[in-house]
Amino acid sequence: MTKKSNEFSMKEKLINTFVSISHKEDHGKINFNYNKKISVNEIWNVSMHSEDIKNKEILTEILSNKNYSKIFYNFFKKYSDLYMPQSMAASSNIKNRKTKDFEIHLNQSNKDNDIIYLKIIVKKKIDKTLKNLYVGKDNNFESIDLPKIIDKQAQIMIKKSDKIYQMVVDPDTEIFIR
Amino acid sequence: MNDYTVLIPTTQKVVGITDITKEEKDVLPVVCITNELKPLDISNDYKNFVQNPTGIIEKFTNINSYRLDLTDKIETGESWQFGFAISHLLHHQKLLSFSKQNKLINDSKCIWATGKLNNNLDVIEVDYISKKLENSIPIFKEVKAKKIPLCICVCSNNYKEVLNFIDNFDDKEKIFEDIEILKIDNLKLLIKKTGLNYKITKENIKVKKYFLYSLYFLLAGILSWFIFAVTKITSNINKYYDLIDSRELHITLGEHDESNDFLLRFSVFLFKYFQSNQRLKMNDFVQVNFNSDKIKDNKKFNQSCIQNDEKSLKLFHTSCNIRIEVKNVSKQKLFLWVFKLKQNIDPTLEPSLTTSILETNDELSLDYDQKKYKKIIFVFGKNFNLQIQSWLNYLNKDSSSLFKQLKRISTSGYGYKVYEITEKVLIKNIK
Repeated sequence: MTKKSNEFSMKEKLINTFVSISHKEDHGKINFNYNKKISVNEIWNVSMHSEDIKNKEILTEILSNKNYSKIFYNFFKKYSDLYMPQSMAASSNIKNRKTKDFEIHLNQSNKDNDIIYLKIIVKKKIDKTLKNLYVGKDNNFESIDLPKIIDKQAQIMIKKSDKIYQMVVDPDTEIFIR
Repeated sequence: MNDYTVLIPTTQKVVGITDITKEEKDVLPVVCITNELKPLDISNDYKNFVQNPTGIIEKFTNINSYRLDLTDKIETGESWQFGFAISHLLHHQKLLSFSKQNKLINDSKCIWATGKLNNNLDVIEVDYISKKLENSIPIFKEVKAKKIPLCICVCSNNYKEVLNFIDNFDDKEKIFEDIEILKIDNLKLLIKKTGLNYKITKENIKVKKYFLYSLYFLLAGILSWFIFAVTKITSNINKYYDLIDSRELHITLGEHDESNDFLLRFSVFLFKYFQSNQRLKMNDFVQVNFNSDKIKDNKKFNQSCIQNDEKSLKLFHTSCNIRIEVKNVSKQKLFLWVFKLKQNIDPTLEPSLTTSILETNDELSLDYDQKKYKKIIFVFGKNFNLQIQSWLNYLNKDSSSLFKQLKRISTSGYGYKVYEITEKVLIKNIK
């Protein structure tokens, strides 16, 4: 009985199965080198669940690609309750940042010069609870939990050495609250 | 040397204050555990406790933001307020000795305080006094051993609970023997008892005193000016009344009205206002009636010279003569001037001014020729005034100055009535 070119015999199928199983065991040891493509849907998902730790790896991957990063920031801006664009600051080290949505005031503690009070004043009426503040610029993306906003104000204490502080005082960063 | 250490009992343990730092105005007041970055949950209540308008600390110290460090957590409640307030007052006068993270007391006197505070600085009772005292026994023992003075500060209602606790406590070591228990119902009382030289309060009082003194001076100034103004205005008005029959009145009024002096201008205004009121009251003193004889062959006028139209205006037949009757209906003698304003300036026309005196209920009857005259003016008053005659006669030269002359008459305190009689014999009370 002649065999069709694309079909395997039962024996060949069995051999293939065993070969596949043996390769599967080695899978972890083999270093595959390929460029994974990320769909827009995935970027959207990451931007919507940015606080989720599972997304950290893929977030790094998105931010490392200029095009993906652009899409990510667009999504992130669109789905943030409060947004602050880059500041038109003459100085690279700013104390206050203001936008129509909210203000950020930075004050050094008199107790410890390394401690900074980061005060947020919300100007826009928001009905939901705001949980996080995000600061982003290119492939740098940092976040911090927000305390409860009372009387449209919230204050966080951070250290000068914290990356989030360095990013907030950088006028080129975008700030998001959601 | 710092004199007092403040201890704040909680239901868990006794908490000490390790640091108080004045922060920038823009910073929200925070309470933290020593050197930690995370504010305690009571921070928002602490903010309201410190900052105006709800807070009390800023009122004393004029500082609106602090970072307060504690040896341990205070999670909830408001019983910390009394202890915090004492700490702030002492700290502001550099009399507070801070606890250390692992050593609540040092050689300074101790104040153990629990209670809430209201805006009047009244200390309000709190719960769990027994539990707090129980948690503090090791500290009480320590101060006893070190012979450090300690006083328990609570309000009247909590004071009884403290005494009850001590009564029921098996005090073999006599730890409560040297502890002073203070009944404090107001923070100011504690300031007094501790001999705290509370400068800020005094400054506030001084400020208040200065403010009150300034207010008194201001009010006294206003009152003096008011008395001066009333005196001056009264004297001016009296002066106007003295000049009422003289020509000078209107010259003086004119001068004062043009003056930059507010009081003079106001005097003129008031005088004119009083005189105008007087005139309006006098209007009812005189009754003026217009009549005419009957005619037989007139259908429209229903065999009469007079017909009232829908606007209650009197219509007279042109062929009828008008008879005017003026009656004094007041209870006093009146001087009356009747002036007929001519249609044209005609020098040949007889003088149109009639002067008369009317006793109560006296009536004066006048004929009026509507072809010669266009208006009839009645001026009346209690006194005779030569000025009125000259003002009315001036109308023969310049009839357009009627309202100006009437204003003068009114200012002089005389009443007037003016009737315009048109060619169609329409009689209309215009003033």
